[in-house]
Amino acid sequence: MDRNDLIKLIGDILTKLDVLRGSLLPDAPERKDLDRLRSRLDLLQSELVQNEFDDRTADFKDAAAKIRSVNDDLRDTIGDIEKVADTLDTLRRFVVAVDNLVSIVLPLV
Amino acid sequence: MVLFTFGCGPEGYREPITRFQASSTVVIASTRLYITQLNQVERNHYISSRLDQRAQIKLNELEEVQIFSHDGLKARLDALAQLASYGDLLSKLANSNAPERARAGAVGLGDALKNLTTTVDGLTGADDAAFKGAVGPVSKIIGAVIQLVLEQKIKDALNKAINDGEEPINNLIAVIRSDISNAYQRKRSSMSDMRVLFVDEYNREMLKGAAADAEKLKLFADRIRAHEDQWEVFATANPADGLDAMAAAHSALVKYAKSGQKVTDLASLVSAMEDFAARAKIIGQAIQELKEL
Repeated sequence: MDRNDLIKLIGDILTKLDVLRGSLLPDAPERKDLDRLRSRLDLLQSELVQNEFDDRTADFKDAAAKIRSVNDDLRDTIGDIEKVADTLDTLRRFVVAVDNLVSIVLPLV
Repeated sequence: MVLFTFGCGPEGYREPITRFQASSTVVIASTRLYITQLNQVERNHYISSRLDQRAQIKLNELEEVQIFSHDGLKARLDALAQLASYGDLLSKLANSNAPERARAGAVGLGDALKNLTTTVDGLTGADDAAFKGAVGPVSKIIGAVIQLVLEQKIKDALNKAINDGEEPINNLIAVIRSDISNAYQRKRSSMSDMRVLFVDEYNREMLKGAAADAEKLKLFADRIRAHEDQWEVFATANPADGLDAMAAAHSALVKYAKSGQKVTDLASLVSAMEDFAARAKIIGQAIQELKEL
């Protein structure tokens, strides 16, 4: 996975997450956490777009592999409105994994 | 992009060249239109988000959310325009009966190239490094081709373009493609979030039950409908796909020229051009539709 693939993968999650958010009422109890995680993920994607970095390093590849692994878990539940609690847990792990990658490739941002 | 026939190719060669030029024009025009719209989408998203949160709108934040700086946007648009001018110049070279038109085109392109170099030298954004790195080699090659044209060495100019132009030109297309692709993802994120904003707006009013304002509900429903139409078209409007096809078609032209323009190689060239034309048409239509929505 390179920089462009990573940015697209995050975009895929953002759009699926939006379908989930938009299927819940604005005052649904899970919405606040979903909205907050969405904002964080959007910001991280923006930082990855606005800053160039070397995506051929071992550190990047390791961090990207972890993201892909959590992404696989997330895909199992994100489309199911009955599994919002599971999605939230996995989504938190996903955001932590992306945060970790950003801190590695863009330490000064 | 390199267009060349040495003026004496087989009859079937002119049609693929014409098709390549026409498709490139569509892709470049679509890409220009698309990246011009990008900043607008980010601005709209920021304003809608602030409205939804009942939060302050700040001009400094409004400027920060835009994907390309004013100069960065101008430089990419200029680079695309000059790729188009370069293609036009080389097609004139390929038609050996128009050396004076080629010379006039070369002078204009040389001036435009100097302006582009000045703009690119001034770029300081963290996301501009690859673009700046790709423009330099292309400027060098095009500059050398222009010089040969001005010296009336038409065949040498074509040879230079064939032998030295493929890699830097395709690399510049690839870098712009990467910028566009990532910008597409940002636009996708903004439009996706706005889907939720519009649905929330409707649902908040709907939750008022009997006290809900019927006029507002209709207005909010209309907004959802309009945005969903945009969202549907947007999925097919990624100009990065067109730039991929353009680079592939460009390589097919180079390969054919290097092969000695054998009739046996013409079929694969025609096929590559047809593929390019088909993709350019789809993207061109989608981006035009997106603009009109």
